[in-house]
Amino acid sequence: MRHMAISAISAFLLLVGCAHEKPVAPRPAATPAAPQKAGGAQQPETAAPHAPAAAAKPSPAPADTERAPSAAVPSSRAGTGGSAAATGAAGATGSGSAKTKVPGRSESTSSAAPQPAAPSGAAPGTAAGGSAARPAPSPAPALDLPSLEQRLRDTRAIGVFTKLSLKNQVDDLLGEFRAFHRRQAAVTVAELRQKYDLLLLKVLSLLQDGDPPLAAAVSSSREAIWEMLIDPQKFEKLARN
Amino acid sequence: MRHHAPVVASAVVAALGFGGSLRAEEPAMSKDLAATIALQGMTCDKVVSATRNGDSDYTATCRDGNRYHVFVDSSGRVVVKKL
Repeated sequence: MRHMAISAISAFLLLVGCAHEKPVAPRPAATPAAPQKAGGAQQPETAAPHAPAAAAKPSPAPADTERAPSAAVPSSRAGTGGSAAATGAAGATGSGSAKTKVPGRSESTSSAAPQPAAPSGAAPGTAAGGSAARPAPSPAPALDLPSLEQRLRDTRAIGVFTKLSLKNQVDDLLGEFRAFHRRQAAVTVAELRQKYDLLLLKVLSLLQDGDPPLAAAVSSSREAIWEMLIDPQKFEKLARN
Repeated sequence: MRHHAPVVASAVVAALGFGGSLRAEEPAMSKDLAATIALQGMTCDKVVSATRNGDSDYTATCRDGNRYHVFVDSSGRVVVKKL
């Protein structure tokens, strides 16, 4: 009778043990996602291997759910033991499931995610490239002379006396351009350009501290204004206005 | 006493508002005068004091000791004369 009982108990224990072993591997598959989310970064490695195994063995999963509490410790052991197989499985079939929530994968996915994101970022990059291409055309329409003139009148970065003095010098230079276009003065284009640059430099030096945006606008309009001044037709049109 | 009050008040207002050295607007005006003098090609690193002689008419003293008469002439041009 004793032998019977002992053999029965050992057989039962054996069965139980086998049952434990099987569930261990699949366990993580069913539960890994939730515990690992809450667990943090320490357990991801053990759980990671399990997930692929679980993915590989969907059928045992239901049985494991019942033993969830006891399987927690063994699962880690099994994870370490079968990590190679698990990773192999993850690499092969579990890749899809691993992407979802495996901690080990989460790192890899997180690192991998940016890569896919990079291409998507590349689209913005191209957009940035487009924006980089846009600045080129921006200088062309930069010249809004009436607006620029009004802004210069309104700015508080330049005092009244200084504005009046600048206006005197602008009028003097315009007179020289007029004489140049009418061939009434022996002034060369180079000299006019030098005077123009000097005057613009004065304006910029007055604006750069008190009104940087206006200084930038004036600076960006430098060539456009020069084109307008040096072209007889445009200058005539400007003089009329 | 009542009759003298308006006279005294107007005198004070006149003293503060007209003539004499600049007060509230001094920093801005000093910068304006310094910039105007520099625009005319004359040396003035900083205006330390300025006296208003009239409408658009100032006498500026620079830190280096130079004094300038800055005014707007009848044709609307800003003139800077070294004193």
